[in-house]
Amino acid sequence: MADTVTYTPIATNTLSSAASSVTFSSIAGTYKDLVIIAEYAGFSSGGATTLIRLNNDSTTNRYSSTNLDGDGSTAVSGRYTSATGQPGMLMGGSNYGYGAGRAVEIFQINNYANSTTYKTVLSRFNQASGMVQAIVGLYTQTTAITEVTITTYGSRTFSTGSTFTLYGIGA
Amino acid sequence: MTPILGIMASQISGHLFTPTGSMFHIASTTLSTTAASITFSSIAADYTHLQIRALGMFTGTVGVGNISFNGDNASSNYSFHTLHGDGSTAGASGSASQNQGRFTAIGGTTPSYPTAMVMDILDYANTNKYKTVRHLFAWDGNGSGYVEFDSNNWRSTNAITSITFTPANTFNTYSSFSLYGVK
Repeated sequence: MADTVTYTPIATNTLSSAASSVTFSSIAGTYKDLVIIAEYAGFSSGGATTLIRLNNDSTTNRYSSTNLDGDGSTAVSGRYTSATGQPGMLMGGSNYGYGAGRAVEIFQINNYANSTTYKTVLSRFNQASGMVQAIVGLYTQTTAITEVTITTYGSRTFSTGSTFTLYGIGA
Repeated sequence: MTPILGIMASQISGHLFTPTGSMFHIASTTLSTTAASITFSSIAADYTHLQIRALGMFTGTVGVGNISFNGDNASSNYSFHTLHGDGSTAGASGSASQNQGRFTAIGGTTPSYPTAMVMDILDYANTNKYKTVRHLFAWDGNGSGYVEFDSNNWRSTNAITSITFTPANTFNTYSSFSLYGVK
């Protein structure tokens, strides 16, 4: 059987005004993995710190993350446990949170539709003015992922022109 | 320029360009029982690069897991370098002349916490150069966790036709690995 082409764009969103979150909803379990490519045109005062919330679940004791960061002079690693009390897993910009400049972030949600395992999200965050990061987040629920919200820490916003695109990778 | 090309193409009959993707699904496995290793074999040289996407479950600690190509696991032909963080300390390491490459690192977790990985094997079918692999793998365990970038080198000019992942402990059920080809 011929190999099947994949990496399919599902939805995209370009912000016409600043927004504190972007949500992809009604995600079918058609694919094996999800990839989200976010190009942040900038952040409001307070700088970059993104969160991923799954299935619109804001229960604060269900998310945690570990990060590996370099800011141009040192490499560090940090962690946020569920005790941090965030309504999502802290991703890009976590551990720093001061850079408001343009940045890119690519999220990988492997095996998102299975209903057996906890869900793990990989992220690569690059902000030329500030840092590079790799982050892994954990969501301690086994429910299939049907909704993903990319949001910000606190009341910060993504700048106008930020783009968010959701892809599905089949198997 | 893409919108202009689209408008022009709409006025042409008989030779319309149909967009085709560049990433193809080759094979997948999701374990229904535990397994000591996972292998993709008989990989054709149809693509330029390979990508492996995985969500690994382990029966014990993640530990140092190995990757090998074409069944070569005794030649000292592998080397690797890593950049890693365990949630408190960042570090780097490397090792030369290994019998296998590295695909996971030391770290303690429980079977509940999946390890995610995205691996790229570049120019895998080229018979004139050694093979280079890069990947990111990570897991978080709510109070523990590990993030690592790896580069692996296999000093062989043979085209890669099989890839084997061997964990420190066995793969648990529900581990899923998928192999993709990139044109």
